[in-house]
Amino acid sequence: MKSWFGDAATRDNDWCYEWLPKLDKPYDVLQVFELMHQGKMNGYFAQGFNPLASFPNKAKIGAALAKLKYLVVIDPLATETSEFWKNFGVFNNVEPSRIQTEVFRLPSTCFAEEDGSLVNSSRVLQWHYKGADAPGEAKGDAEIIAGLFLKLREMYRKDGGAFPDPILNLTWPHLIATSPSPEELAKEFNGKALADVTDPKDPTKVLAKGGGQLAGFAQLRDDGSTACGCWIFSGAWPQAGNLMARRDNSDPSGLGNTPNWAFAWPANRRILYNRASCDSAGKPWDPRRKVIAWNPREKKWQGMDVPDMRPEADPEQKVGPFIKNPEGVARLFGIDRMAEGPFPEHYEPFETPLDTNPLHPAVVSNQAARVFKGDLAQFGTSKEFPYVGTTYRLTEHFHYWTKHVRLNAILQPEQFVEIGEELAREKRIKSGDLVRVSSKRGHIKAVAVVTKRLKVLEANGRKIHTVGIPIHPGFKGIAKNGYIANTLTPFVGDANTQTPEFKSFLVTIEKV
Amino acid sequence: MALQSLDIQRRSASTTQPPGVRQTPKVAKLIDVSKCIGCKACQTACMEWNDLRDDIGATTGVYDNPRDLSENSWTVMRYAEVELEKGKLEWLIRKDGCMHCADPGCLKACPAPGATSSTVTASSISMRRTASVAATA
Repeated sequence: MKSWFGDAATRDNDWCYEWLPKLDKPYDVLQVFELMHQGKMNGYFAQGFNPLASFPNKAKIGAALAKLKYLVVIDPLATETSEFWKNFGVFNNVEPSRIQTEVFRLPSTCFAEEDGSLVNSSRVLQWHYKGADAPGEAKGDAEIIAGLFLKLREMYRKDGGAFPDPILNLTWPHLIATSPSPEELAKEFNGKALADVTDPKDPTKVLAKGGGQLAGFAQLRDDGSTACGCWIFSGAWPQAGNLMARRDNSDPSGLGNTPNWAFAWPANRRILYNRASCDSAGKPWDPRRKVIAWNPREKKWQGMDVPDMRPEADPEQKVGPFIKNPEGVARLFGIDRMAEGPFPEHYEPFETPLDTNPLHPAVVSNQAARVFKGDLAQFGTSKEFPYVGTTYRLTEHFHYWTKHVRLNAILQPEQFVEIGEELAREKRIKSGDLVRVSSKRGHIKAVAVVTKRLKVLEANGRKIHTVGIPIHPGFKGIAKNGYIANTLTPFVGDANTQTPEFKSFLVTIEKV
Repeated sequence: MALQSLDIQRRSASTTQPPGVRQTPKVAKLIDVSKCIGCKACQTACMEWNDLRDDIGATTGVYDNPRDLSENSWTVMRYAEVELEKGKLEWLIRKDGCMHCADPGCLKACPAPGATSSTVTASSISMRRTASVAATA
């Protein structure tokens, strides 16, 4: 809160917590586009995001975007979303005169055209450097957002508004107000001391000087004397400098750990729950591969990684390795964390080729999943659509971006779908034939690739054929235009993360 | 085949100098296609290295694209599905190219540890896996 609202955030006003909007339900992309489809949203910002191509049921996404008053697209590329209103023949057959959405396209830099940090799934934040200037009028995302913010703040200052406080009091400590630098933003998420931060055990000992960068989240205080934009990243830019820019690939332990390469959140810890590598007495399960161990002489945990627990917690205190669970141990069943469960279960996809669930016919699909009104009617049956459709990427492509890259377009130039040999025989389809693949929600046309790799599956006494549908084609870029694969996919997600059911739905296929 | 007995100049997926570097009068490029993952990185690298851009073609029902070697495509990958025994499908992926580069971009781009450039001549190679090793001098 101090990082956002600075001096305006005080103990007396509860650090401005009341200023923050509160969620009344999850706002995942399916929920947002459902609301948009209902006409309950005025505007939408698509920042580095191509929802028309990426989200399920393209017809619904397009209809939803057409109900907006405005759409802002911040992207290095011209995306299908940015031209959802334009007619591209069979690939996007819309009537522009009937779409009133005002679209603003703000060209941004791509990752190679800016300094900054990238974080990967190993939790490593790695600084990277600009390799080239951005073309044309493209600006960095921070510069674009700064422009919007400064304009909004000016309007609130001049004209007031229903609730100007959070906008007027937002901290904006940037040297160039219109262009916050990546270094400034990184220092901000690391956090700094607003006053001297002292050791709770010894108040005469100053851990971080007022005005200086914090060494890590352990130095954060709840009395307003520290500010931090993102506690898990704290420690990435301490007083010593930008640890994300470190490039020391030495592996002192010989176990494949490079603690001085960039920075891993949290606390530069490379292995989460590393206490689990030791037995209850604090001895490594495998002495040849010691990650950490309890040192009884020094009374602390030591090793090649940062211990994932209080470093002085004696094993006799029985602090478990899974510190985020009150019981300290791992869980086989997520009793209070999952929408369904706790026991492992099998549900059929909402569109199933079996028409039943072989385990329990009364409950076929996940009852905890959220299906919006209207989408249920858009689910097909195996009678009409007998084959399983599944979508994926090709190794030659990266999502929808590489439509704009000639090299990738040469490697895989045209939309295709894959089917097994048996289905091909049944349908009299040969490799190279043009086929139409349809689901309850629409159809695409593509070249058939008949392959031995797709086998017939047998389940519940039925033969199940699969139609493989690579995503990538669309109608913007230099690759051959094609249909958006998500024309076919159903608008429903899993019950916990709301990840759409891109991988299993029902289609039919015929030679054109 | 034991790599240390060869004078390997370079190898893929590795930044370290391979063992046995001496004078390198003759160069053979060896590709263990049984290790190939079919990513076409070599094909892309060949186009970039030699500044070639073929036409954006059409899909004809296979993964191979462009369909054949040409003045603008010096490397193409070929994909064959073979099931000699039922249930034992092999996806045989072969790198086809002119093999004339002394300093090949395709080798640098290969992420799988299966391509080497060595000083042995093609004729001296006892091909352990004839079907899966392509070599030229």
